[in-house]
Amino acid sequence: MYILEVTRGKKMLLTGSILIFSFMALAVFALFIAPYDPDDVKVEERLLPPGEHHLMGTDGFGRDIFSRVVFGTRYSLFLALVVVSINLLLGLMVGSIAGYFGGLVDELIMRIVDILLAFPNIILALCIVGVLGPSVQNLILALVALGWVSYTRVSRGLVLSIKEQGFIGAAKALGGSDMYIIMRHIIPNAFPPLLVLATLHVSHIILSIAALSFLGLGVQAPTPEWGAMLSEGKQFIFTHPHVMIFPGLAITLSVLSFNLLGEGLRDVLDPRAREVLNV
Amino acid sequence: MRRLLIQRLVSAVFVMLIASFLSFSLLFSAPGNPAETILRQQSGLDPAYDEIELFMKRHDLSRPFLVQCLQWLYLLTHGKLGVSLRTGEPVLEEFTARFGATFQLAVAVMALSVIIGLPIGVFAATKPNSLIDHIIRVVSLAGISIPEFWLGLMLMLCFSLVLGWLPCFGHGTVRHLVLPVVTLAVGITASLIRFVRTSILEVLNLDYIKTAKAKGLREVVIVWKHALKNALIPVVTILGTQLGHLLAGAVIVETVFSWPGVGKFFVDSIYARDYPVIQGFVLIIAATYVLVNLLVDILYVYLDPRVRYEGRS
Repeated sequence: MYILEVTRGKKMLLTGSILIFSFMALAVFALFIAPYDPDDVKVEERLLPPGEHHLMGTDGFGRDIFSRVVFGTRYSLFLALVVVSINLLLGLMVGSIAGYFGGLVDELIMRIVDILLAFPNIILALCIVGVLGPSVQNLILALVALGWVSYTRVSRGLVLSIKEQGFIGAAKALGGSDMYIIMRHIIPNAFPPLLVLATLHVSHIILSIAALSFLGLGVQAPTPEWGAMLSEGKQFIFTHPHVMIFPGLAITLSVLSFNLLGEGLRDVLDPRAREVLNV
Repeated sequence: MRRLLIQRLVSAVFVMLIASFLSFSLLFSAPGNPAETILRQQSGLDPAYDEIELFMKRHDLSRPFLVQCLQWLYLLTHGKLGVSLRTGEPVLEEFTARFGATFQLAVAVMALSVIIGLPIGVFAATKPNSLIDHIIRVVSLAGISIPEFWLGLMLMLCFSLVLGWLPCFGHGTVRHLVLPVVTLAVGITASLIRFVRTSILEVLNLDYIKTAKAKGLREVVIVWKHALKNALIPVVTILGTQLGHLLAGAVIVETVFSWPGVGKFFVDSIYARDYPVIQGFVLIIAATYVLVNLLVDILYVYLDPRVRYEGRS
């Protein structure tokens, strides 16, 4: 029974990792993989169906959809990774401070966290981008504004248990300053479980970026980002559906691969780590 | 029980205060002049300087930040959320007029998700690691991976254009309801299946289930009566948090299907930079969210007598 569990978990882990590495490879080698320039407008070749020359057809401006999907991995993956890293680091810093010092600092930080947790993320993201105006910087800002909160909460919990352990007491006895202990001992120990949480969040962030771009409030139109491509292709849905199908498949597959990785990790991890992540 | 209620109410009021302050400061960090944007939209021409001045005076947009904020809070306590810059109607009325359509969507989605998700989740948990469990897991994982707006468009393509079974836009009959509800329900059902499955699997390991087994009770009775009762407790909490997803999903799906609900109105207001509406929406969403989570907390106490709330641990 136990063996079955482990192998099954690893199957998901394996599939997810392979898919993610493929997407990464697409992003890195986009220049060599894409057969055409993703921004090359050819009016005479507009809205061609998928075929020999254009694997996924062409869009309303005659641009090769396959090339645009390949280059799109750069925007979607890169942006999602940037947002998640910022959230992770910010959350870890704030959470460590709250957990380590406790008392009034902890109370204050956790109150703010509790309040921010009461907001549905994407609604506030929509408001921020809507008010500040659509741009990549504002998109990142909007997704960070609430994103760091869950990391803060989880890392605070982790730090609370870490700081009770013997080696922290030893570090203190040796005269280590608070800052030194946090940076040298607390953060490295709290980091690995948070990394798993981050994997689970990447898929979430990819979806949010795509949704905001689809609404025209994220990455803007001529950029070959998947959500922006769908936003542009919307008008052709009934006449030339291939314009809509492939970017959407790309989003689904990339999100699925991160979800598979997260699910696989959850299975492989020991139950205690799982408990932390279910918060 | 009463202590919990008071504690929750106080924190709800606190959340609402912070929410209103946040949404108000957002307005002041906005680039460009809202009066200019609105006037340009109304007439299609660049507005004259005195026109802008007049508009700002009429809508109290030229006063200092704190004055406007306090003024807004004062009106808020009187149930006034201001007037939409676009339509000239009170924001609150604009929302209540559209709330029905969104509520209809939300109830249908929740009902459909529970009817489909609960049995499938329980079934998967009774056969852990079997082929069927594996399939359910992967399919539900795929369900939470599909972007709603794309799924909606694909369903529209399939059922309206190719098969011609259902209308793709509009609102009114049950037939109009099908596509938006299915679009939203896919993700929520999928996550419900996953939660129910894990929840039942955890409960099935407990001693009282072993006792029931040793007593010779049938598997069906054990799972559906004994296990489900306890497994439902975390599921109720999840339904509360799913409401957030539902609201966010509704914003996107309503836009895709031209569903005349709160979400579509919100997105249209964002495009038009209709600040009073954006501010009002943040507050209303926060209020709904806080209220539902309060209800979930109370329900939790009733469902599980072991739970004693003593503040945050």
